[in-house]
Amino acid sequence: MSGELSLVREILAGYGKSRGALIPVLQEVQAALGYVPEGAMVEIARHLGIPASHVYSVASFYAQFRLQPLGRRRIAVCRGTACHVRGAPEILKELEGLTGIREGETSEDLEYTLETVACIGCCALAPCVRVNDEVYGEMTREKVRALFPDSEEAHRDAG
Amino acid sequence: MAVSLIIDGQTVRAAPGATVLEAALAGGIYIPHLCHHPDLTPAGACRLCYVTVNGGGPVLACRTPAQEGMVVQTGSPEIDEIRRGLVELLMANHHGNCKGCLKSGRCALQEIIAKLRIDRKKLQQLRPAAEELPRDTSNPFFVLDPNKCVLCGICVRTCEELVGVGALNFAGRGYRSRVGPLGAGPLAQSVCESCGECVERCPVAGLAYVDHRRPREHVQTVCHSCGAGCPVTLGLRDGRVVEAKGELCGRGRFGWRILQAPDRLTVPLIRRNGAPAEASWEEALDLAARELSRYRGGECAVLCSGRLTNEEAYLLQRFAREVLGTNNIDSTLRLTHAVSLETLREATGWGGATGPFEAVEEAACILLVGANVARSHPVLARRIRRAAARGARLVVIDPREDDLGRFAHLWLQPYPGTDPALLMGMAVALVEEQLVDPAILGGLGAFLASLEDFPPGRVSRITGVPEELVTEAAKCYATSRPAVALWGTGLTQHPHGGDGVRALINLALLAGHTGLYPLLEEANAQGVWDLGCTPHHLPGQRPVPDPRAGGKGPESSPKGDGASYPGLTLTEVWDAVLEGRVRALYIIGVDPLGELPEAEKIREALGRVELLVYQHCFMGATGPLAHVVLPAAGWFEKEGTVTRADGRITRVRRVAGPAGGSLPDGDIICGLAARMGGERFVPEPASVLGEIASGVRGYGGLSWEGLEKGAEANVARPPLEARAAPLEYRGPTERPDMQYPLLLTGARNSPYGDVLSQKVEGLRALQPEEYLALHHKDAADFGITDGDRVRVLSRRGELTVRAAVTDVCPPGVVILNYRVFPDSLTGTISRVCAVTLERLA
Amino acid sequence: MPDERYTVHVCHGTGCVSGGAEEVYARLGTIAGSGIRLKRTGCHGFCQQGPVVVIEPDGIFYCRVRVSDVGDIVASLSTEGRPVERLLYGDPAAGRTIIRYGEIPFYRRQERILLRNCGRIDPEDIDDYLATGGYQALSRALEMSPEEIIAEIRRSGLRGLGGAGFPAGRKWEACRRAPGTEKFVICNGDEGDPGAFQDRSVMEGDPHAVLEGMAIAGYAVGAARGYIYVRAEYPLAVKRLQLAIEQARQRGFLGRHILDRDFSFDIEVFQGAGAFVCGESTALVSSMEGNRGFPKPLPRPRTTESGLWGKPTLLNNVKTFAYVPKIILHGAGWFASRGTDKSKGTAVFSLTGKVANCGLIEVPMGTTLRQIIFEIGGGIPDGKRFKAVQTGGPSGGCLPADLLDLPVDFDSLTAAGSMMGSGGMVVVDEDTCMVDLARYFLDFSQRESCGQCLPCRLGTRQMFAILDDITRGRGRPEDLARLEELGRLVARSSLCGLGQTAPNPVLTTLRYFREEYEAHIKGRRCPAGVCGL
Repeated sequence: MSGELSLVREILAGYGKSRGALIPVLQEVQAALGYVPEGAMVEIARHLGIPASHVYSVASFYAQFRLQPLGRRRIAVCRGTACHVRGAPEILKELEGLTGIREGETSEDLEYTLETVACIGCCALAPCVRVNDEVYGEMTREKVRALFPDSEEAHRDAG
Repeated sequence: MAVSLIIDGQTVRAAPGATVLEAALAGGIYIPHLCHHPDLTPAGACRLCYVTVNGGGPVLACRTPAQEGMVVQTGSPEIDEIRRGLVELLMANHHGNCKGCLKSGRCALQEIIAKLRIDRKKLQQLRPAAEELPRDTSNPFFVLDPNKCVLCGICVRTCEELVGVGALNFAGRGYRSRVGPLGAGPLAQSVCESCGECVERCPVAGLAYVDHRRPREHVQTVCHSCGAGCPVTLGLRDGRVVEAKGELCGRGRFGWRILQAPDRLTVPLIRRNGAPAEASWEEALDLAARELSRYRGGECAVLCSGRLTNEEAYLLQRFAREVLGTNNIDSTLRLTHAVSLETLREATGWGGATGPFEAVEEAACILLVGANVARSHPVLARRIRRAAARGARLVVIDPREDDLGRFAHLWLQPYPGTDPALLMGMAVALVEEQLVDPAILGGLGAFLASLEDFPPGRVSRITGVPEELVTEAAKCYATSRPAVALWGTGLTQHPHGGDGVRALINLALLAGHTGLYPLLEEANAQGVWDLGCTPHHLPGQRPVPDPRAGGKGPESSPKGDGASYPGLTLTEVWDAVLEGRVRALYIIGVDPLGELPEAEKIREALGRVELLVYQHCFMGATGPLAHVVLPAAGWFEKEGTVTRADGRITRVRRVAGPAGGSLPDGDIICGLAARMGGERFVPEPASVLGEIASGVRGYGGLSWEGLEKGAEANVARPPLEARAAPLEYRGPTERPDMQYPLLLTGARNSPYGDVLSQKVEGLRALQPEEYLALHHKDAADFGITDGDRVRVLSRRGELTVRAAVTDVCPPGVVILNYRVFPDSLTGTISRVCAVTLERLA
Repeated sequence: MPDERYTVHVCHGTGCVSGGAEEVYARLGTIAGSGIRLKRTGCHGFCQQGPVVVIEPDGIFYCRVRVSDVGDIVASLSTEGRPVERLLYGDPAAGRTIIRYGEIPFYRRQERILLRNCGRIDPEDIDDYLATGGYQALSRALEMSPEEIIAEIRRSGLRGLGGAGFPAGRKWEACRRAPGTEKFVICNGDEGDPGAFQDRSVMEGDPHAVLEGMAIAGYAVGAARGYIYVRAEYPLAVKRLQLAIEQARQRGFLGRHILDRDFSFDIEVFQGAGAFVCGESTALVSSMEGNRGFPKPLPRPRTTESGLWGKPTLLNNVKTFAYVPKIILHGAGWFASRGTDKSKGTAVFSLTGKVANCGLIEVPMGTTLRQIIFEIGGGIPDGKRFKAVQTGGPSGGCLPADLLDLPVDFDSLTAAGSMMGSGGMVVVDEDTCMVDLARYFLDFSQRESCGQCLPCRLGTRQMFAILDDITRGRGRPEDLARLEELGRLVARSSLCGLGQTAPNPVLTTLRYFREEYEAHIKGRRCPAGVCGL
């Protein structure tokens, strides 16, 4: 925790005491730590001169911010319109089956986080899935399974 | 300019700047609304207050300014349809029914539903809210219930705009939005100060008191919990207080419960066969009077607190001087701000604040020194936050940064006990930056010479505050007008506390500012001081004549000569008892063994003293040692007047009680006086006030009837006439060294912890765990991580406490709450010493 | 370099990058010999066929190119050989392969003004932009007076392309006239409409056009600072814009004393954090001020009078700014000659869904839906039947087959119950359930509602709950009346435009596809077979 906080302090040193810096600071903290811990929010609040509850309020408003640590593989299923009409709900179902977690959850071993995203903007390649920073287009159940060879093995072993 | 408009055919006058909604409500025309509150900025979120203006389409009444000649309709088929639709949505989403709801009967939603014709059948066709959410019941006084919340945001705006704490905010978004503190954790563990302002304003049962009963009558009085003296209206039902209304803090809102504490003293006790036994008032007063009469003048001493009324204080000092024949009378103010009032009196002719607290909110710059004002005077802290939020510059001098930090323009963290040097350093900066009016500088030769002792480099070395910061703070204070300076016990509770006060007064004089405010903590500390409960001053702050002026210290004087010699202070009394000079003690409204530092010495003295008469609401730690215990009425159980810390005089009224067989302090004092031959001891407050008004400097011309009617009255302080006085630097008595490398100081980390809070169960529950605050660099040096248990060692004593790793204090300084700061560490009442730390496994 | 006979354009739009365009480019760099110039470009628009490689000057169009194809492409260039047949675009309608870019129906029917540079220039190289006449408009604008510029924009009839279609010139004028010495220009790149990506493509493919338009706007309204608010989901756009800003500063097109004149203007990128509502101007400003993205309720001052930090602020969409240099260079008349009477110029759409050719398209205002879907889009694949087209995203509506001849412009779409919105156009066929689609949009709206005002927070939630019940076979006969009533309530009483338009997908499907709802409720049957009843 103290290591995290000193990182946060380093980030804050680059910003003045202005409320307008809040979202960029949260983004930078999340980029550095993978999520925004509560201690970081308190620290950010002090630096920017705003209530900590305000930082939490903003962080919990925007879809981008994670308040819990994320899995190593962050899978985002696009739920844009084009993706929806071309089968995104099935893709999500398949992923829930493969990872054993539901939308919005992170697996206990911190391997996977499964989430949906409003629109990646790759509508012409619908349906799309993003794993960490890679976008995979024109997904099918088969192509989804191919993304998780380990998981599939695990399934087979279990079965 | 007021405007007039026509609402639903009725002509309504509206105040300038009023909205249509405000105009309508003021004119007695109801427009449904949930998110509007007159104290707060309009939100426009509930969408219920639609009206039409001059026949146009629907607009929100809460955001439309009232204009001359407007024709407003508060309803139309379209508007009615919108309102009904919205209320149906709310009802479908509202968990539970009204039966058994904490707010039933006082709920704005109920009121709206009653006024609109809701189609129950249609309502049943809507889908109900799915999940029932957990309620936050962590606060002992109120509950946060998301299932009842309508997300109007009134609580959020109250906490941010009015209180300035910002404990509550929205979290999440859309239909998943909730109101809650940081991290959605329990409210009681957040920065929430439990002031209840949000609960007061919540229109529904989103925030509701757990045990509220509707009052039948109301009494206006003044709050007891600190020197800010906030007006409070207590609501009563069946003779018992059930609520407190007004702009209040947690102690003010809920502290009245002390009246209903189960362990109140209700019967006089006298010691029989070594144990306290119940007695009648006759027996107890006879015994106390008889025993007190056996001692002569200076063999007696009287100790009291700032919880007496003005009238009681005046009677008490008369009792000491006229009946007991001694100036040995002092109050607990000795431990906090006596040095402030004495220094102010020497410097300016009157020991007291120079203006009203209201001026603090109007100031352009607020200099705050050594005060955890958010903890000691929470409502005053709100004024400061609001001033800062509207642009006033807040400059704070305190080793510990607290939650005012986010409002501060500058926060200077000097090493504990070095404030005088810092303040003189600021004076040097003013002179060097040529910010002092030459007219003021004239004739200040000695003072200017004394400034040479405070070159910037030296000041920076002594205080640990960078030179630029000292200069910036000084410039900010000097160039903002009007500016006020407030200080707390962080400045005064040092061996040379008077130097700090003097230095601050000097700074104000140089800058040409007149606002000076010592932050007295007990509700009537100022009145008790002004009316003579001090060994050096008679009522009206007139010095006790000292025939041995310049001679040796005070000593006991023969009976009947009481007014001729200054008496003993509260801190001197204990040694005098141990040396046998003082043999009888009359203690009122303070529990020395339970509340005051130097407990060991006090215990020994109380064991040794020949006669102890103890008068209090509670037994406390001192009661069991007393020969006579006299049960006293509490603050809201007696009539009188009080002088709040800024010199405003107001009426305190009997609201209930007195509990059991207890009596107001004034009645008890007069009872004793009558038995001991005192003359003209009449307990009726109106009569005593008359006597005060006719003879006490500063209190002349007061009238009971006037105060009764609510007339504003202030202490008439003499005009401010003062000159900066030279000062020589005397540093803290102890500095850190290799063996004890850290400087420990005391601070207040919670508003709770005084007797009041200890006696009210809910306030006690809100008391946070005690901790030692230390900077993360020091924590790293000592291998300590947050939450570790550590042993704090000074040259004289030790203490074990949990460590909190923060950066609210500078490296090299560690901070402990006053409440748990043991005398053993410093060996004196001082709260600064060098320490080292050991991490416990 | 004189001996460079061919230029190989490798599309680096997000779609093509996700298909492996970077690897293709790297491989080309390794094996292409002299005489071949490589160029990274922005989005070609035909994202579905990515990664796209175009060989100029011949205009040979290769699609779905893999790393393993690179060798053959290079070989075809060096030996004067024939194009690589298997990489050519096969037109499903005509049943033949097409060699050249301009001959592909997807492109042939378009008129690319705004997207002219997209896919042709290297967005990471300012010289490429300059070579196409870039920053000449800025230079010309600085010789004009601000009033002249505003008059030119007014005459062009340019309307804001963020959704509402407010005339740009009037907005600029209001901002110029607003009192105050400090003003801001904000480019709204918070393209949150699920199913639209044209703003992303412009920012990625032609970033300097946006910067140039903003600088001209800054000069016209009297602002010295500009911000581009970009969705955090668009990392490539952020990167390209930041690079472009850096290059523009180095060349003196941004910063102090632009082109040695007494005009200073600089731009920063502000990354949004994922909230659809921040596309609304006052919510966007709230979010830049470090707050929740709460729109400000009416009545309130316009953003042009009191926007960011309470200062006059000009806020326009990415495409609006990108048009500006072209209007300044070619004149208002050139722009106004396109489009319809009240909707000038071109419209840019993200054409997606059940359509053969998905991608980014630009057509003159007034082009019909039929032309777009069947001529450019190539109709519905797999022999399926067209059912509806959805425009305007969650704020828009679904239009049925009998409206296919509707001309696409601001006013016609609004009159039909939909809207232009930010330019998403999703085609659906007989396999799509309209109730499910309405449910999908309301799910989106209730998730993205900021929660500030009661009607949007609880109304969209309630509508979603009813729709959800209908798709699960739990619909009740009175539900349709409730939906219509709730839709009217939310539309009339919501605080901001997003809430006010959120019921549109339900109201239009109820209007045009009511029988599908009734089949779900009365017959417990989903005609499209989507809902598992």
